[in-house]
Amino acid sequence: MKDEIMQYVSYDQILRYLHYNETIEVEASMHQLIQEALNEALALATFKSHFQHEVVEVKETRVTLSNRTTVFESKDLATFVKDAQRLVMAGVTLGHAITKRIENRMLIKPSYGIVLDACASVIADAYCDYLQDQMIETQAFGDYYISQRYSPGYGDLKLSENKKIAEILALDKKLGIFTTDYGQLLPEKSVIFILGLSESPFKTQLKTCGGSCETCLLKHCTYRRGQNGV
Amino acid sequence: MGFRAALGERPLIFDGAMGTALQKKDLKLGELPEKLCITHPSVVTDIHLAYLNAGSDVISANTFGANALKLGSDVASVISAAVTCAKEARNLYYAQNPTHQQKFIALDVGPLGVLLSPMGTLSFDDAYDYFKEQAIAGEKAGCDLILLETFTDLYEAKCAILACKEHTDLPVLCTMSFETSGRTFTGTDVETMVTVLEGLGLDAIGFNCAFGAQEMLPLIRQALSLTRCPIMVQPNAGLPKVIDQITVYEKNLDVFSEMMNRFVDMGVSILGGCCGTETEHIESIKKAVDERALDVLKIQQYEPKPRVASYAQTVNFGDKTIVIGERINPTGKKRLKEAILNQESDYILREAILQVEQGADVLDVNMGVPGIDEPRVMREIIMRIQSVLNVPLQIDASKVASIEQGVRYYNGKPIINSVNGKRESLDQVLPIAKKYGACVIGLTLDEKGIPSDAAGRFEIAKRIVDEALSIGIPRENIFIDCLALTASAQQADVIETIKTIERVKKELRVATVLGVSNVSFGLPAREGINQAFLTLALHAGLDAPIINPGHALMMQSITATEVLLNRDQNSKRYIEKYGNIAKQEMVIDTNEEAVTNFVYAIKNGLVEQAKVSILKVLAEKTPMAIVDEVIIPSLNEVGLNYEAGKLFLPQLMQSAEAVQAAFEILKAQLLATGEAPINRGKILLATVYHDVHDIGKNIVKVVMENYGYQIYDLGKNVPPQTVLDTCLKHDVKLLGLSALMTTTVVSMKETIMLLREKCHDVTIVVGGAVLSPEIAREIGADFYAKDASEMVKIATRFFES
Repeated sequence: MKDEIMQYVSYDQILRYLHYNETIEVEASMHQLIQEALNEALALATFKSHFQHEVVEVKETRVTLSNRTTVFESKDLATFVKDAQRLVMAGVTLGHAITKRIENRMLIKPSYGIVLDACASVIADAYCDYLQDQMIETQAFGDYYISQRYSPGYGDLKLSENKKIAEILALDKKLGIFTTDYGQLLPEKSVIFILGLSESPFKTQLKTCGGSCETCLLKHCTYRRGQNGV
Repeated sequence: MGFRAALGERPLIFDGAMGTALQKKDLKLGELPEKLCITHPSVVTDIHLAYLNAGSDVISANTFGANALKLGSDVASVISAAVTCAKEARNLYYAQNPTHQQKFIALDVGPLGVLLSPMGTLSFDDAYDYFKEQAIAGEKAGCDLILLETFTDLYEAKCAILACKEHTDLPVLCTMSFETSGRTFTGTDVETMVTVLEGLGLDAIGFNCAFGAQEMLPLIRQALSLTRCPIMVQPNAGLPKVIDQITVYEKNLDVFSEMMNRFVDMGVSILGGCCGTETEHIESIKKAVDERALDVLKIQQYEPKPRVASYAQTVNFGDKTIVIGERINPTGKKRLKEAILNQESDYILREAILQVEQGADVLDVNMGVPGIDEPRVMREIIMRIQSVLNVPLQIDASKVASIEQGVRYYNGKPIINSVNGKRESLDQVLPIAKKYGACVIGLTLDEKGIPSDAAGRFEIAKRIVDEALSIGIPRENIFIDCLALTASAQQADVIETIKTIERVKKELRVATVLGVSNVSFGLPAREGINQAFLTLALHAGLDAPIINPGHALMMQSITATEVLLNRDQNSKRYIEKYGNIAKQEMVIDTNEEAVTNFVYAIKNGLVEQAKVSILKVLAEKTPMAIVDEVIIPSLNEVGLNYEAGKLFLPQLMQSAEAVQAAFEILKAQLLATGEAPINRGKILLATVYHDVHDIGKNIVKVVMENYGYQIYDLGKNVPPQTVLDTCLKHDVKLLGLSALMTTTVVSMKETIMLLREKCHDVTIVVGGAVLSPEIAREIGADFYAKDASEMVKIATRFFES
């Protein structure tokens, strides 16, 4: 599985995290360092995921899980999954070992620590992409169309909504993912995401998190960098 | 008959799942099952009764999540109601079965659902209070025992065990959930779980949940081979699947039943079921137990062995020579002493990490510096070391309070360094080792000092071993240090140490440790003496030398002696280590003047070259002049190139590393000459409360330190009050606060408001991915720094004004 996940790793995204820009050529020694960090991050990561889907009712500013008392108050999410009949909730993590190693390297060799951190973040995203494709390839949800990925913290869906999803999925018990009071995830390299399932193709597809806040339509977002986005 | 007596007599049967049974009774998704004990008590009672009728000896009250984090203030009333349900079921059962065996009620305690610090955010003490509340309520309500179950974090399990044992007299059982990889989510393997938990005085340890009985088999087999503590198993009915939002379990009763038969034959003492198991599963266990005569309850076959452990790694003594790294001990180390006094935990952590990279298996940790709150400092540094390393620790202190703090808050089974033959020491230290299941080093000295001959030292060693055994410390947890004396002062006594080791190993059958390098004190070319002494000691049976693993020749002596003593079969380890020595970073020593070389090293991030060239620069300039005239201008140039996009983050960090290495040499030089340390001003850095991402703040720290500022780094998730207290305590006037998420900018604002209210003359700089100059103004900060270079500029202006 690790080899397959590697196919989804965005090398450009790693460089962006390290503040490289396209105008300057990256030195060979830096490529070597990134490759070393990618290999180590991949070796340390324990890829684990869990997801389930439920019937959902979507109104203008709220998304309700029909069989529960759970409600997500979010216009952006409601727009995103407007056409959905079911909602997939998923949790993924790379585990604790990678976080510990990053902290360790930041003390001994920070230049490597930051590269390892960037690689681990990109691998976590790659794992999500891999899972999404697997869901499509294996027809995990029968004939349903699958929307793009959406996470608490995007748009007006509060980061603290991570707690609700983590509880529904029992992520502490199933994957060892815990949420802090404000909805951050531990281990650090973990992701919670939502997908819409629809019997007809999704008409509303927002460009969510592709790394550039400038082009993102979600103007109010937990992850939005700076005033204009960077 | 109490639970403990019953446990020794026959295999005991627990119940099956409560949650699965409640789901069948139409429990609404999202409701707290524990509250049903109040709203629908008869439903819960019926489930208990069904399990008793199926053959359970023990039923678990419906209290798994009955803690204040989930229930708020209702803990005692919910637990009381739950135990009442269980008692009601037991009374009904007794009434229906007049010739019954005794049945027991367990207080069921699950994890809190919040990760403990340092991996998470909940403090050990807060978690302890939650468990304490549950345990006291359970005992008061009439439970016969406590079952701590489904733990995946060994630290949380240890915390819960201590809370239960320190506040109740009930038997305590603890089970953990593993993954098929053989580890828990937080990285604990079976050997480590057994090593750490067996010493905490549990009545049984074991496994539950996560997967079915078949998958649990190898874990159980391994646990049985490692401990004398009774083993408990509660597997799921099978592997879980989610169908229509409900988790169901692949049910194969025949497999479950077959495995339970095997478990009884293997010597498992307590059996039951977890998720998905029902009364039919309990009936199958009952059948397996009843078909076997009681005398088949096996005594577990295992060979006691000295073992120490962190939460994720066990070190076995006897397999090979164990190297205990000695460098985190301030005796004779000015720089470390300074770091402890200044709370420079990064320096200490670097020493710890480097020792492990140099081959240490265990690290000695001693914080014995006058003028500090040693127990608190010991506790804090142990927490920090645990967050970056897995090796087991040796808690080294002369103050008993420091030992207790270290051992209590350590996530693992440590070594205590040390007890000695003095009455007071034996009385104070051995009970700590016993209570926490730690290993303890006995020094062969007493009120009369260190006997010069082997017979005298052996006599003390024997007294320590006998005393430890008499209070229940197992032999494998007792180590003896026969004490090295200096050859320059007591030459004739040196060989007595070797003779004592031989006798201790042979006659007392305990492991030996030895601080080696004392022997050469006062002699030239000390390493030669140390190596020879170490070799003699290893031949005599020394298990674990306490040395500096950075001394390559000492490390080579160990590996070589293991070859010569035939402990390293086919010289495998020796060849692995020395067969292919890696090339070192090449140091370019040009004929350029020293300063040019040093500047080149900084700009190009060459650590080794920076170390070499700064020594030459020191011959030309004072340390302060080096900082002002060479380091800062070079770093400024690097910073400008970074801002211009000519250099990138890793290169900025590489330059910082080169300066960091040079700075350590400067600091050592200043300490040696007694000159005042370099301090261009004090800066406090913290990642705000509720924010657990601090890589950005750490980058700023590395850069700022290199400009000669004294940094107070409070880490991540720092409460506002801690920021304020540190500011006031150290009279810090410039602060840097970091936040990664918009949600935690709220915490940043709260921190700033508190500082403005209580500490008027501080300047606050904020930074982090989601900050902007506008947000900085809105929340009351003085400056916004977009990166480390900006922070340098702000600090420079601040301290120059």
